[in-house]
Amino acid sequence: MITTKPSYEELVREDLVHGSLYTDPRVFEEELEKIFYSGWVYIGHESEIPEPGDYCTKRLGLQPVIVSRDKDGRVHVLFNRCAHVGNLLCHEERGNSRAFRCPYHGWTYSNDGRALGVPYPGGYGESFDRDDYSLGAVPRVASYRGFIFGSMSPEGPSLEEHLGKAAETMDQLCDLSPIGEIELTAGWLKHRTRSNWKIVYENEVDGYHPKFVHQSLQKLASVAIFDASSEKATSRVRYLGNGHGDVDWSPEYRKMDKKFLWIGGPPESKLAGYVRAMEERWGKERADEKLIDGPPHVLIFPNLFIAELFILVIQPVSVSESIQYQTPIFWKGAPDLNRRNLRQTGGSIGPAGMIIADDAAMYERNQLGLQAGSPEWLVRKRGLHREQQQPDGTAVSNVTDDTVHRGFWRNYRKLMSQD
Amino acid sequence: MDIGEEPDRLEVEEFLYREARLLDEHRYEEWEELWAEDGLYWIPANGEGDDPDQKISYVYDNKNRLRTRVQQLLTGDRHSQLPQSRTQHLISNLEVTELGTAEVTVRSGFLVVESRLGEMNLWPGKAIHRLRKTEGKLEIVMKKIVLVNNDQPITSLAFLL
Repeated sequence: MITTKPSYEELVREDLVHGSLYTDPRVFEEELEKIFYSGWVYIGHESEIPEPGDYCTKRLGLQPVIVSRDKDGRVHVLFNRCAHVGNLLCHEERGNSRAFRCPYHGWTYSNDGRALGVPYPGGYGESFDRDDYSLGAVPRVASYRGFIFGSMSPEGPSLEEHLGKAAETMDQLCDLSPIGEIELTAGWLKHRTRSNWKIVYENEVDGYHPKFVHQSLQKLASVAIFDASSEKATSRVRYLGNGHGDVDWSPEYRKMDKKFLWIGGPPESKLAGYVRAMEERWGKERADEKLIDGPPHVLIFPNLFIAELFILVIQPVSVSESIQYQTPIFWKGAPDLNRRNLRQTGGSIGPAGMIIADDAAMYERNQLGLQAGSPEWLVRKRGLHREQQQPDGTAVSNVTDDTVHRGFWRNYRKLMSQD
Repeated sequence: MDIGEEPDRLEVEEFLYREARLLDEHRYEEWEELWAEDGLYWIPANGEGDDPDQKISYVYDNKNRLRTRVQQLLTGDRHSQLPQSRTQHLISNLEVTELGTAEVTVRSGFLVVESRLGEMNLWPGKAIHRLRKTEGKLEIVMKKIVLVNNDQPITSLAFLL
């Protein structure tokens, strides 16, 4: 039991992580401040607000925000709190509106956050200027390939600097569309799990578990991804810097030299329209490569998981609770692929998903197990002897190794040790 | 039309109660046998389920997918059901329409109480069954479950509603 303020230099070692980091409510509070309210955090996708006036409501850390597109097409991330006495301004999940009107005392705001009207302004005296009462706005907002991020720090690294090498995986994702864009328009499955957000993150970059956790499905069907997560496979994990990491299945898919293994391995004829559109966009050779490699399996620190065929957003709730928002990816200009993907991911993801529900069972068992205080440390030594550290701070190792976990924790220790 | 092929209300009620009991008793293979080959088991998310070809559902199983789902539970390695949920289905507010034909629609209200790993969960909603009588037996052509809270975060739903 820790009785003084947690020391992250002590609690995170190169290959060991202290169990209290998943169970101590003070750690969770500090993570909100030093991770979610300091650095870049994924908030939403531009396809959720395609038209001027469109908005959707989200959370940044625990704080409610409105993501809106103004009449000129600019994206704003505004705090969902009336500037008057703090009422929740908008309760809808999405919609289209030029203005937001607070139901409490009728204060109104344009969808770029400016105050438009205050009823009976005379009651505030002559010096009152409603321009002083705009909505709070997230200081920095930036998008990459349609993914909208926000940062509560007015200054600091740009989004591109934060994404670093991970941006290439987002290119890999979007370039599977003949138009170069994805859409998240299928709605969200909202899956509550009684586990710390870091357990979710770590599970998603763990290439060691699929053969065990998803054994029940492997008994019923041959799924390429399970073969690709064997220790003997050529797939690999890669730490990409700044807390990001991926599981790269593509070497295994290339070895098998077959397209579409990432979506159940249908014959090309089933996706002929899509293949044609990709070849027109990229030329035959590059299209072939992309259709063999498939989409990425990448974690963008701290809360965005691009899970090949779907997106999973990790929403922290408390030290022992998280929500994972999940939606299938639609690639623009690929209706036949999208139809197939909706059906395929529909069976795998969400609370009833034949894959994700079993992952969630592991997160929850993990949280329960960590209530026991001994042994104190989680073991993250796997692959330490065989991973290849690159000069740029990235590292590559066997698909079953803890290389991304170690990178995640080094980055975590750095962020959490800042004053 | 063959008179014997038209289900009556009592028969429909008893069918729904039996279906619920098979689920509560984890008799999944027998439950699967209640389904027509063209059956659809559907649990929409975010509302009534307007367009399952555009929007994600919690469950949208044809018979083949449903069979896989049942088989997965029967492997004994479906971790989200280890331990199994203990459940009790309660069914009420039955309305049967299209009586007098071979296929009827049954609307009901339900509450499933689930206990698992020290937590108690409530699963309230309405169910719409489409039942067909063939060779003297009822079978499920469609079961659509609209949870009251299907637009809110919910815990894992690895047992069968």
